[in-house]
Amino acid sequence: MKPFEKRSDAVSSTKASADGTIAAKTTDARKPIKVDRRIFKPSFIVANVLFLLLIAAIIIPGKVTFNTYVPFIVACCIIEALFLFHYLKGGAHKPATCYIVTIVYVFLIIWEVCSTDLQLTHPVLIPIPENVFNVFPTKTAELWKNVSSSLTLFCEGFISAIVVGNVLGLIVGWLPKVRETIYPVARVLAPIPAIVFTPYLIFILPSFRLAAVFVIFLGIFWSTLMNTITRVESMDRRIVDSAKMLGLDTKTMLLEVLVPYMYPAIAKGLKLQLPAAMLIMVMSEMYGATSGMGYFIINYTNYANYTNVIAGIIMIGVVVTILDWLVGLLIKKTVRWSDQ
Amino acid sequence: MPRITFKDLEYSYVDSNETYLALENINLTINDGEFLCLVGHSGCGKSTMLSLIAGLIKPTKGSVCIDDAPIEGPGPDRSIVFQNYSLFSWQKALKNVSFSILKTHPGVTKEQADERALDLLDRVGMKEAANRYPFQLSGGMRQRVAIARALAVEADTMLLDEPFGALDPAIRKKLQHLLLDLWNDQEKSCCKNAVFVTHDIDEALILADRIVFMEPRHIIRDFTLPKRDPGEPPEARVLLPEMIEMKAEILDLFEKTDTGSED
Repeated sequence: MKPFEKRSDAVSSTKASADGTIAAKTTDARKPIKVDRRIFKPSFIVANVLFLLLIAAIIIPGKVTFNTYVPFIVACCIIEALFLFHYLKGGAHKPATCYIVTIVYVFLIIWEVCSTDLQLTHPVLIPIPENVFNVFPTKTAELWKNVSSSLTLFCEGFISAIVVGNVLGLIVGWLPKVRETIYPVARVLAPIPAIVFTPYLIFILPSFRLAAVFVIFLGIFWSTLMNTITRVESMDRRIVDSAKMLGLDTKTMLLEVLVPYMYPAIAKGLKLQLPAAMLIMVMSEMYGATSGMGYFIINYTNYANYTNVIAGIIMIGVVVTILDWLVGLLIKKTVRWSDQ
Repeated sequence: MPRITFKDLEYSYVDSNETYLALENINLTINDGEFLCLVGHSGCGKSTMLSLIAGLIKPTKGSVCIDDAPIEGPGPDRSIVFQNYSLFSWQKALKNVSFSILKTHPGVTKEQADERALDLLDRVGMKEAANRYPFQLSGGMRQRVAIARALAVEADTMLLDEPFGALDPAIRKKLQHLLLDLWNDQEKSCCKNAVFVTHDIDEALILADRIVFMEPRHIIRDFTLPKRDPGEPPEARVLLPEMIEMKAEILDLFEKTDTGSED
């Protein structure tokens, strides 16, 4: 909210000064068009009716027996709670919020009705939702162990790649001769999918962990390096020239001009590279790991325990979403300015 | 006291394996205390001249000197204002100015720099905008901050590369007056001479002590303007008969040198 407040404040005093017409006009255009201010819109009611139908479908006994439906109901309630929170916080004016939840509920109702009540689906290949969600309370320790193992691996590989990629990218991009040497090499190496190195790296490196970290590193490093080099190279000459006129040394130039100039792009890049890194990590864990989310899934696939496999997939989805949300929060909190 | 001299200067640059000659046979002396306007069609080499004085590029042949010492590179004895978008977008207006003070005046504390920066922003009428980021400012406001930032360096020479080129006529006029006020205020004024690049004849006639007209690669005419009376509004001088004659002559030159290649 802060930047917006600043903006409106900026404009109010802009109007006072004579050359503020441009800024004032932009804000007028930003004024929201007439919105439907009702709190309970039809789409909201539809979504909540579906929620009640879903709960009813879960509670009404079907033909399949299972341990308990409580975890599934808890999961549905968490979805509903998040939806209500988001809706009341301002999502009310974004109809998509209701549509998304509607799609989720429809999907869950179909899954629930087809698998437990009508028994239309294959009992092994498509496990019933009650059992899938029951995995979370019964295998909490195992899941947590795998998630934390994955996350450590992920952080080591991802963070080191981001740091090394950006630091090298800034230096290489800034020095024309180095850039002309490194960039073509990077262009050849960058498109090779990092995942193909996994089996080989597991052989030559002392531990699987190290191999996995290295694979994640490779997957993220090259693209980060290339992006940063290109961004430094294509940086507005007038900004560079203005800084040069102050007679700055290379260190000040890099740390006080280039780094802050590049920061928003770097931060937004994190959001793009996060899913890629996650993909590489889960895939590399499927090769030779003894723990991790990828391992959890491949291991239970081998035992044809698809209930656990689907629970594992949901787990990955939740973890990725949380990470994505955290990165988004970091961007929102730290990027206070935009390019002119 | 700076005196900028171009001696038998030639400048060419290479673009995709082809060499282009941008300037040749340039001989020019910019005297101390002079407000010089470089005028000509776009692409005639005006901005290149400015970059040479700034030290951002080096001559291919000949030399550019300040007080007989060849220019080695960019430095805080000259300051520059570009057309637009040259403020540091990650710094608020105040920081943009104080950063320049801190980096060019070793020994100045942060508080002193901020105080001086606020004073400069006040002089360009931007005190209220001190805590705004460049993206929150209009084009005219940004150029005011850019001028304050250039003044902050306290350079002897101020270089201006079409600083008002992207602004609408009313704001442009206001900023021209502001620039003249700063220039005329000799006691407070930091710069000893100014080189201003523009393709707007009226702008040049209002601001300049001297106008140098360029056709592609060459200087073809050098006009000295009558002294400005600080008590009169800047537009008064433009109405003098010799100024009207000069304007007609420059317009004529513009037509003659039009190669038709411009956008």
